Amino acid sequence: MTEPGALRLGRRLADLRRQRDRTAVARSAPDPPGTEPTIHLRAGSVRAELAQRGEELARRLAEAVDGEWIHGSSGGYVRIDRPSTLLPLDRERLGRLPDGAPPGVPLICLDTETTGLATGTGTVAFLVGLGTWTGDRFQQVQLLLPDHAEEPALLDALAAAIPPEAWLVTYNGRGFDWPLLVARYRMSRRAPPEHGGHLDLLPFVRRIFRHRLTDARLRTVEIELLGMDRGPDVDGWQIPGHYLDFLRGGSAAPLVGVVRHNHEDVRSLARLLAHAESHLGDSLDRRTAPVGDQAGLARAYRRLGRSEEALDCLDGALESGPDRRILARSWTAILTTRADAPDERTRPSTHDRDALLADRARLLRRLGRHDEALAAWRDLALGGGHRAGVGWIEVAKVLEHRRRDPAGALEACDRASRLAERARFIGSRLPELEADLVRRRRRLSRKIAAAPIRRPTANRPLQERQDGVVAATA
Amino acid sequence: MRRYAPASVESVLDGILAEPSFAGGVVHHEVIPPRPALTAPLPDWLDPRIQRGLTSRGITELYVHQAAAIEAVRASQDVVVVTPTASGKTLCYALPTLQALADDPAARALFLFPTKALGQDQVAEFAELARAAGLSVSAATYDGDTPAPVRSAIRTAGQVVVTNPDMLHAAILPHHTKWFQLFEQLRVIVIDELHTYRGVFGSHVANVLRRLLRLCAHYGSHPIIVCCSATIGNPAELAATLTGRPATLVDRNGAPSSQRHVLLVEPPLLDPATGARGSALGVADRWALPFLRAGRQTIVFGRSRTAVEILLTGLREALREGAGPRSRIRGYRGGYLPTERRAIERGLRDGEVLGVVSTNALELGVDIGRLDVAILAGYPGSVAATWQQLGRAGRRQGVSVGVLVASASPVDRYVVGHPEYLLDGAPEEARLDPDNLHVLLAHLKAATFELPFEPGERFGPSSADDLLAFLAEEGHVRQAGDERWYWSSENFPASEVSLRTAAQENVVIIDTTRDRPRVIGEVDLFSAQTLVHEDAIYLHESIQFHVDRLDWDERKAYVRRVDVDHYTQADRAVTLKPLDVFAEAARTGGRRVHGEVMIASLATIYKKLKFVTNENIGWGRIHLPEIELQTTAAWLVVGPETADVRPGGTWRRDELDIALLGAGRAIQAVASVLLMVDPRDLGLVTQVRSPHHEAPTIYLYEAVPGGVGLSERLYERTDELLDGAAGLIAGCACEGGCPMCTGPRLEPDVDAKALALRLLRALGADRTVGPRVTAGGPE
Repeated sequence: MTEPGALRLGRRLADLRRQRDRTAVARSAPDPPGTEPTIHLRAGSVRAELAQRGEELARRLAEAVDGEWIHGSSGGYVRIDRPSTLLPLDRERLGRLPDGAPPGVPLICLDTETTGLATGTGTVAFLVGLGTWTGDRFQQVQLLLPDHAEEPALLDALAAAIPPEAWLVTYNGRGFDWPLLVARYRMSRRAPPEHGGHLDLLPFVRRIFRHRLTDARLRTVEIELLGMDRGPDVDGWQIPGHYLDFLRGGSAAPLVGVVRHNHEDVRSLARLLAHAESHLGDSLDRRTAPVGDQAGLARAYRRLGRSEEALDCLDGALESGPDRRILARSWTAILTTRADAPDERTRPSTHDRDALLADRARLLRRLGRHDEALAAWRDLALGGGHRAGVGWIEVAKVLEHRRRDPAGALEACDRASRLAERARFIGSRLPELEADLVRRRRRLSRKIAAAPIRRPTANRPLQERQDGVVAATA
Repeated sequence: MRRYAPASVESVLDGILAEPSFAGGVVHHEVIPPRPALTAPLPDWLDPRIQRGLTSRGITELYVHQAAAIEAVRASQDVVVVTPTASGKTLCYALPTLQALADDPAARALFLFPTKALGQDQVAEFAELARAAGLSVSAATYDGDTPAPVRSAIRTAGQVVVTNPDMLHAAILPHHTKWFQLFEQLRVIVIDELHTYRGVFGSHVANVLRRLLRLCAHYGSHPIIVCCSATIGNPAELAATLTGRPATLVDRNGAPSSQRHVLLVEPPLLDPATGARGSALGVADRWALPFLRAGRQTIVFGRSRTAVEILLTGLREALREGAGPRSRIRGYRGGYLPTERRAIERGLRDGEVLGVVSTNALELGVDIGRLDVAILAGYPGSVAATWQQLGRAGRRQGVSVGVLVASASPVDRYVVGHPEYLLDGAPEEARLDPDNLHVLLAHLKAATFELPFEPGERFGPSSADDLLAFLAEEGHVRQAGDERWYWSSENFPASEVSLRTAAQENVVIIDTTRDRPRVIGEVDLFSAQTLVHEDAIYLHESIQFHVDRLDWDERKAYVRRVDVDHYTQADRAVTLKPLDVFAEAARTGGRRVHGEVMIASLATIYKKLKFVTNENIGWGRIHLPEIELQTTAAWLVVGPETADVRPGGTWRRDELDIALLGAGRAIQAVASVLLMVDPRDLGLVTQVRSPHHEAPTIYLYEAVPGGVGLSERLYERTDELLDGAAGLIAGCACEGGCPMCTGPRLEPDVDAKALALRLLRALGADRTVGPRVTAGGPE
């Protein structure tokens, strides 16, 4: 009665093609450059022709980027080896940094170039750059894919280059490069290579250096942190297009720039490691680093539960005194930033002295050094800065729960209340602080009324109560 | 004086029917006798833990349809279960899934629900069953609201993943390597609310399933597909078209039901000359009041948010006059906060809430227990949805009442005029076309992105090579040295396709009500002309939006939330040209044809129409460029011997014009009922002298690029369409044509009804097929 689906589909496709061609003629658009001819024939010659085309791609590519076409049973890839360079790295010092790789394991710097920015199974890593140390020398190699069909060979070569105990060093590799490679291995039904650990330098840079960088791109890190300029470079967004053009029969020449770009990226990973290790790798050296770096480092250590080191960083930062540059910037930031439109770049710095004091007090509490914590909160409160109210509340908490001194706690609350009133008077209310105070005062008054007066024991060791009461009310 | 004494449903109903003002509007009253349960024992192969879990929940045997479904799955057959509301469909797919997990905890299952809310309710029910069985099963919803850390846990460890087709399409399939545990071990795929996968959406979902099954094959799994559908005419065919595989049909319902009354009601005729009738909303409220006053739990369904507001206000006003239980009547619709909704649902279950007025938000899934009375203010658009709404009433014991009040549209009139359609089986069919070229190509791109194509590999009806070669010419894919086709573009193809629209070029609708504009939907260009022109009132999830600006070049419509008492309806001037004929046959008085057409459409003016009364309160011009649409159509060519318009011939030319339009409108209404589509999705063009056929012609075209298979069925069901149209017109109580049959009367002295009927009879229509509607009018 009606024609079979396949037949009708063929006819609809022919219609669509005609329609498209008509529009194309109307617009008289030139053919996109280097469009590879589509092979419509289904003859035996197709296979040979396609295979030949693949081989030709590989040869052209190897020639253009001055690499070597390595091919075997699972296909072929283009390998580019570079002479090693001197780039010493102190692994002991690196190992002490937060998330720093342990000294004994091999490090592999890794960066990929891909056919698109979307992660997903249709995006291919067509260039993988690797860098490893042999003694003080840094050795780089790049693996380049000449055709979609050859991917298994490249994946095998990459797997062979990563020893199972090695640590990967990447820039945003946890979120992008590595998951993408894992997807590639799964696509070709291979197990992704094992590795001992992964040091992603993007979060590291964000935590420690971001406060003095325009943004966190690797290029910015090179210029503003490492003080170097790689010169003319291809823009990241152009890279997929250059490669796809080449696959469609276009020129391989733009890929030379892409290979250089990837080479520089991998090299910068190594430089960044060396920089971090030499400036922050031990307690003495980091005292000369900017206060913001030290504060960031303290946070990084604290995140990992390495509280002693975090405390050391904070002590260092407080000793170094206020960082003029940062304070100056934060004031401009405050004046130029609209409250409703927080901009990353003009965000007020949080590394002022009071923030450091508060961080330090919290760390002391976590370490169970409650007497010192109380002193630190009191310092903060007496300083009278914008965190003084918080300081008094924390003082009140310690007095109430540790020292069993509700009267003292109430007095601290009074001090906080006066601050809150003053703030309200000048029109900047602190609603959370006020609400907290209302609750706290009510409870303290109740306690004072109910309990028999008891003298607080002045030097009672507070470590015995580590049951989290303080943490719970914090 | 009014009385507020508790009374039984039956006595209230008797009281109502004793009053002539009520009884006069009842077109049909059906009493469906109670039915005992048909059961089968729990099969002995069912894991003992699951059996114990069922027993602990009071389930000692299964209904026959549940037993048949799980036996079919056990025999490795795909199955489609036709389940009336509240017949225990969850067990049909939950038991096979639990059994698979009991056999092998590494097994995985994927549940697809058309909407997010539905999935969340079902996952809770499934989890309870698993808990009762003492099986530790991790079942989780994976949708747009799932937080990122939970997502990765679901990917690796979720044994039952509950999601919707949009999420599967855009978030799961393109990232299948992250889901390899799911794909490698997938045993069961559940597709609930199968009947909603029709039209454009269904065509897309069919292709999403092609992609899903292709990936399963890649990972070496062979899942069984369990579909659950409301009662429609072609469940097995729908399942087969959607999944591409044959399915065993299970449609012998074993669930018991109590006695229920179903009443079809027409509002009173106010003016025979224009055919004007009373408001469906007013009548619905009148029916609801006696039940509410008697303390019977009642749900009233309105078709839009505004309708819900009007119904709710009406009920509360009436109850206030007589100090009735006003505060126990609640509204329920999209836009309410989840906590409000949960509170109302709970109130309905425990009886605290007596009456609820709702949009179709309460039609599916959501558990509100069983009520006494369901009143539908207007036909909800399909027989399946009608039953889902009526099914809200019906307790295990006692009597329940369902009332369908027709609103002023030919579709509603047609349905209440054909009680047998509603009661004796469903004539309506869900249609989709997975091979719509636009849809197919979009998904072929996504499929190539997901996995390269082998040479000669099939996608849909045939080998994909030709289609891939086409895509290669456009630069999306390439054939590599190993002859496989690879994705070779920087784009992410899944993000370019919305499952809810046909073409890729869509107008995005942006809500600017709040400070941060947000996208609330998209419509294809063709629909955009009439739906989101400037100053249109656009309805989204029953909420009204005013279109402030339409940036045609940027394909963006900026809208703002409003609360107004009218809607807009746009007219388009359409020229139609047949391109190709797929099938053609002679019939009485002419020929019927199915083929491809080119539509040139220009939106001209819009009218502002008042809700409820449809009163015209203003109009405006639309300034948009003409657009072309290539689509499929079915058409009727009137033979020269039937309609001779030459001087002295059988027809006057102007009369034939009116007859074609009147008959066409009635056919359009009947077609939208039979094929479960919005009448707007079927365009109508009539030509007294078609340039192509040189004869009078009625065209019905699909308002979707390439069509979704509707016109092919219209062609095949021409007889039913003509008979139905003739019955609709003949049965209408108006004098000479009205908006409920032949369309608004343009010339008062012309009897459009008689003309249209004359034409339909000449084309072989037999209006004696199907009962006539007798509402006291002429004829």
